[in-house]
Amino acid sequence: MKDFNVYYKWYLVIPSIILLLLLTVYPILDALYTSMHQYDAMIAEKPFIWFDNYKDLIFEDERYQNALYVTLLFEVITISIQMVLGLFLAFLFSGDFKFKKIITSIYLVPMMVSPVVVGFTARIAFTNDFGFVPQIINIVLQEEIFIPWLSNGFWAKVVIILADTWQWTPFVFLIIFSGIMSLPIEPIESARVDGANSWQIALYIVLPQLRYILLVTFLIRALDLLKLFDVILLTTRAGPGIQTETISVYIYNLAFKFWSMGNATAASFILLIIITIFTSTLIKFITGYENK
Amino acid sequence: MKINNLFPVLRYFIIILILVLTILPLAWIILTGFKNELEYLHTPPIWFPSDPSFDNYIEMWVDGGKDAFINSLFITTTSTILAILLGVPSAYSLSRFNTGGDNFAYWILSIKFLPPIAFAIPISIMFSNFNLIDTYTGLILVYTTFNLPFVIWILRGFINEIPKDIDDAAMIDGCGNFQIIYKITVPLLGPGLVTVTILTFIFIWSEFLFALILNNSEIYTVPVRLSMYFSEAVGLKWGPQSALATISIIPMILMAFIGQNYIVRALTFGAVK
Repeated sequence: MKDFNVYYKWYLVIPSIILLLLLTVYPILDALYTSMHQYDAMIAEKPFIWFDNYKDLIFEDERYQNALYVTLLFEVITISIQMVLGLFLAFLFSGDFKFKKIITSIYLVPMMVSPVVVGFTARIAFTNDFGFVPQIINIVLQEEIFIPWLSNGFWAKVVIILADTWQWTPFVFLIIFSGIMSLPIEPIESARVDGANSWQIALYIVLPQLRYILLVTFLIRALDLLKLFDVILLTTRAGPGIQTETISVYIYNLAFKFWSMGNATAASFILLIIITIFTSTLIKFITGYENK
Repeated sequence: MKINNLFPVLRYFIIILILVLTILPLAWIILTGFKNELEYLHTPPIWFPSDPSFDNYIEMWVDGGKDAFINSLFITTTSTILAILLGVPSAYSLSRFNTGGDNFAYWILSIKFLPPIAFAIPISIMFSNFNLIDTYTGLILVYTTFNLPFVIWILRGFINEIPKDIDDAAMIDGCGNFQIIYKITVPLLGPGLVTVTILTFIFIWSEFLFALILNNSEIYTVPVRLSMYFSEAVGLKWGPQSALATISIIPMILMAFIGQNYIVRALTFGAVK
């Protein structure tokens, strides 16, 4: 296709580039600038202070350290549960059974529900007296037990983890399941001829071939969880106290409750750096897989 | 590929359990939308409304739900169309001419993963300087821009699979440069384009953070309206809230069923095909 005007290919992307520069690149630079200033919305003077906002956050701000800890905790526990469950379900679904297609479709519904609705549902489901989760637990256990779901730090974290697991395990399942379906059949057939049982095939033949997909899934979920915001705001409002306050929620509070823009942008810049590291790894895997 | 019977005995039990756990919370929300106040604030909880009515729907609709729904519908539809209109030519350019090289494509994809909160603060300052807070224009700009990376990246992958020869043949037949895109490429994208459009629509429809920050309660969307219910002044209005939640999720779920063919590929950014 030599006839093309050399600029033609750029004309096609320029509108997109302008928007991306205007609303992603410029804001990042602006945030970097703000993060190096003592920026209080109430005070007119905004002196340049190098990295003092960053130092404050990392070394002195206990609420920031708490937010880091909470985010990391959600990250590790939630991903572990979802990966194990997703893998288990994918293996379960790899056999034949009745209504498989319909059941798989239904199982995808949670990821299409907006996180705000998930948070809202979790909030009313776990409320003592009126929520159905305490009721079902009482029925299953055949005795009245009281769990302070939303008023205790530990249980509030459990609620958030359960809500996220309800929504995103289907995602993990779906990806791994598609991965299993796309594997070549020959190694499995020959292993079966050699007398391997289903468990051995799953563990020694299927699982190693899934490692790319597992890594990609893990990274996508890790990135999403680093940004956890909607469900927290709807379900626990970071409470009780600040026991479920994630980084994103804390940055939101810093900026729009305390109007401390310097600290807020510094905190978001640190988050940006962490996420960029994860993202570049993820993109390597995605494109590596694409080119294989 | 299939692995036979890993869990022969437990299998049906587990599958049914998972189905129940998946449906239960949604069923509860849908049922709550039809209960009266005595029923949705009853201890122990009552599952089935004795006299189902649309009272909650009417209350919700009159009390801000209508505005939220119209705002959401307008903003989401416009942003989705814009993202697709800008995204298709960009994806075509990246796929066919490798415009800007691989790193340019990776840069575009990486924007998809960056934390919205990091952009929300500077954008909110920028928008208040330009009087874009509480406007359709502001949110539409943000949503179009932040969904472009997804649209461009996924469609680039789909276009890569359409043979280049088709473009050449079309050109010999007298197709103009730009005509190739909408007369040849777009129809060939077919279901892939449908999936991308549907997912973009769902992402924008569900978006909460920007919608919350870039409004002072005049142009509020459905997610923002849902979160507003939890102010203490309102009290426990679970009936109307559930009604709003229900009408906000049912269309998304139906759309997802239509677009499910390429959903895995789109949601893994092309890593799994």
